[in-house]
Amino acid sequence: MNRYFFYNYFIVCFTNLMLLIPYYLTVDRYNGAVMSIILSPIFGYLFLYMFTSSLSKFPGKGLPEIFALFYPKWVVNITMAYKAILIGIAGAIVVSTYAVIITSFLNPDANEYIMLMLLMIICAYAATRSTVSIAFILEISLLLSIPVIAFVMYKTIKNPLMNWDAIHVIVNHIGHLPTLISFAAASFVFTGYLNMGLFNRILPPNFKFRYIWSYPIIVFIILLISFFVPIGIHGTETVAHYVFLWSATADSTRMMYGFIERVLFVFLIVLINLSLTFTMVGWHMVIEYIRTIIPNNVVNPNETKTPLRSYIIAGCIMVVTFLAALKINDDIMVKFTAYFLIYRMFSEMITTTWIFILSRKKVRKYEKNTAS
Amino acid sequence: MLERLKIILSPSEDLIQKELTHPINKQKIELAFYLPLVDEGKIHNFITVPFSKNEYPISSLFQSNSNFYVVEDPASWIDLMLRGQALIEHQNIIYAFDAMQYKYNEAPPTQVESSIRAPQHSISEDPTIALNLIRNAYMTPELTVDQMQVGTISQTSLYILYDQRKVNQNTLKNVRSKLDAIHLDLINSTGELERLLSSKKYQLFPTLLMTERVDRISRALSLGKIVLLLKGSQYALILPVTFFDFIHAVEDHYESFWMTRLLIVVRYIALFITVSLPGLYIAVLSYNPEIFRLQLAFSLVASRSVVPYPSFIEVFIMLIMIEMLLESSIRIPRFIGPASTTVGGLILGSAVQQAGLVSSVMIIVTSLMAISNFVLPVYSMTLAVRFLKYPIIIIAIFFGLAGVCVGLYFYIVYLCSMRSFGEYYFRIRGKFTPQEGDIGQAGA
Repeated sequence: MNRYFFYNYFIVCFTNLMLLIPYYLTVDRYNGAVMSIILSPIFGYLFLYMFTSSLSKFPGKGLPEIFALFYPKWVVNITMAYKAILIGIAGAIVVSTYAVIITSFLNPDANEYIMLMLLMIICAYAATRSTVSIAFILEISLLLSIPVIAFVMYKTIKNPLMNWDAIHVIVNHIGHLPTLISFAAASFVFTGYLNMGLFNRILPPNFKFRYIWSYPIIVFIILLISFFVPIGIHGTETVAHYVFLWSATADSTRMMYGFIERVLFVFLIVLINLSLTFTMVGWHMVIEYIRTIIPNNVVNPNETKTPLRSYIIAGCIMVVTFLAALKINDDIMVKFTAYFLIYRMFSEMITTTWIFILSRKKVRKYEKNTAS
Repeated sequence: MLERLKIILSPSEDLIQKELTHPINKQKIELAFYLPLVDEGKIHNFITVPFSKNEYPISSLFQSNSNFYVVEDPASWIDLMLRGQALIEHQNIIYAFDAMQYKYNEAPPTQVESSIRAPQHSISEDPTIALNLIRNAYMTPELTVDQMQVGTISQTSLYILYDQRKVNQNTLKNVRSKLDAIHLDLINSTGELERLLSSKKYQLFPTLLMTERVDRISRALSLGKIVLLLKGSQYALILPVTFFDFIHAVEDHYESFWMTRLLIVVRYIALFITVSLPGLYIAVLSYNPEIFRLQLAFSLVASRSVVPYPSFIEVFIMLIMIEMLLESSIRIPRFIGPASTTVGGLILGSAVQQAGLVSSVMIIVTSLMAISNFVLPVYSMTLAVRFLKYPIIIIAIFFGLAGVCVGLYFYIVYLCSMRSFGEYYFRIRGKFTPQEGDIGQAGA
């Protein structure tokens, strides 16, 4: 059942690498992006190890249940509301960014907000399903996407426009210390393990996290590709002109054979799948976390009927996201995302360490109990 | 003998165990057999009638008639009974009597789920014939048959078949309670039962598999599923089922390995085509013709140049036409059936294109969609999938290509969240080790 962890880890990686992360890295390509790409898997692995090892001390428990073991109800409530807001913002950024991409690349005539509404309705519907169903959706969606992503990446690497000298130039800037934003952006793609804070509920009791050392390595390779290939195609200077870097990169690649000539359309169709799934998982976590705050909550990862409170919470998320998207334009959005990435990096570092300490505490408690 | 049989065999509705006592000479015989497997007339003529007439001592009949033979080993009892033998105990000697009958020739040929090299007979409206075929195909004493009546007026007999050892007891209890809760005057077909048993009224996909094939039934039983047989209906219901059961044809077990794997892939492609093709046609022609390479986009648009209205009206005209064609070919008498296909398919199709009402690409789209719909091997899924394209078309009219993707995504979400009698409907099972456990167990 390790694959369900794999999917949770990689949905975060894929979605964000295809959307905004490469932009923040390429902005700092002369000062520190390369170093932060190299450093991020080390930190990524460290926190991944801390989080999974602490979760395996609490089989079948999500973050709310773990916190409830140690702290009074109001501390748990505040923590969960805080975490839910952070996750909700990440989902909102992804879905609204995709709405922008779709209106600028696929349907220029369409109204961006109606498009956003459509995407949000389907995400909200999916997010209100049970946790087990979410795991299945995640699996199917990633299994459908991964071959196409691999194909798009292969096509762009084999692009005759690809200029290896440009990549060489950027690699030579390895000596610079990482900047905060580039490090936050690079390390964000390694934070898929945080989803297990909820999905630990559905894992079987004697579950063991296996092969976790390989996850940061794979993500590191994908990160290298998604950073350097656009540079090789657009050149060292022009690459910073694009906000949606990978959409532009896919658009400069062409398929010689087949019905579809431009890789962009294949890319956009995969991306819609990925961003819907990412937002669905994120919002599902928000719903489940907030539900633990409301009294009389029944935790059942395989519930047959969605309770009304899930729908209400999903509706609230939609309204807030929609209002935010109405107020915020693309420029502010890009800046806001940068601050958000930095902020959440520190926040998640603290929570992961916190959980780690709690799990050690629990182990010590057991040792005391068995000794006495 | 009967006491011992009670211990060995699971109680089943079709297992007859009788103790006969003669009113005058107080002789006793014990009789046990599986009702659907034997010819009851034979049992009457050779056992019960001579016994009750008592013209000469019954034991001499058993010893003199070559159809009876003595069974020494109790271990072979079950085996003999499952092969259509009746067991008789008289004065502590156990005789077997061959009363076996196969009812293959009485079973009607398969009509809906036809296949080339698989068995050609289907189960019958007569439950004894159906049970005979199933008992012969699934020869274990664990196969249990329960009987109950449904419908307050029709009092239709309903048989619940399952493998005692493999069935999931929770599912069985769930089905029983649902069947008990049915309050309806008349129940005429398994289709009615299917709708009553489905958990939700407005669901898009079937959660019970309706089949007429004996091999499908016996395979389902061996996988621990429950089979419902209704008297007077030629179809049985299998539950719980997964989505993949509907994509699976019985021939997949009989024919060459690689070809059947390829056919399964083809079925999924057909499923995708039949659901999304009309929607994609609208999305591509009305929103994003540039998605295709230039020559293709030109020829698509050129074929539509004579058509005076937008693409979705064209799609609606053709879809309504093809639905009417399919519906009429079921309703009209069989011997003028080919006429409707000729008139509808050939004449109308080419004429409507020449008249410039519909583009020629649309004719291709429509027929491709209709053909790929019927690639799916189970009729109830074919019917369910036939509906799925309409929501996609509606969403494609308003949102184009993104709408089609979102619509297909909705179907995936819907499928994943479906359960068939508590079992996951749409999931990739993957490698599964019982030691590791399945997901979703911890909280339950």
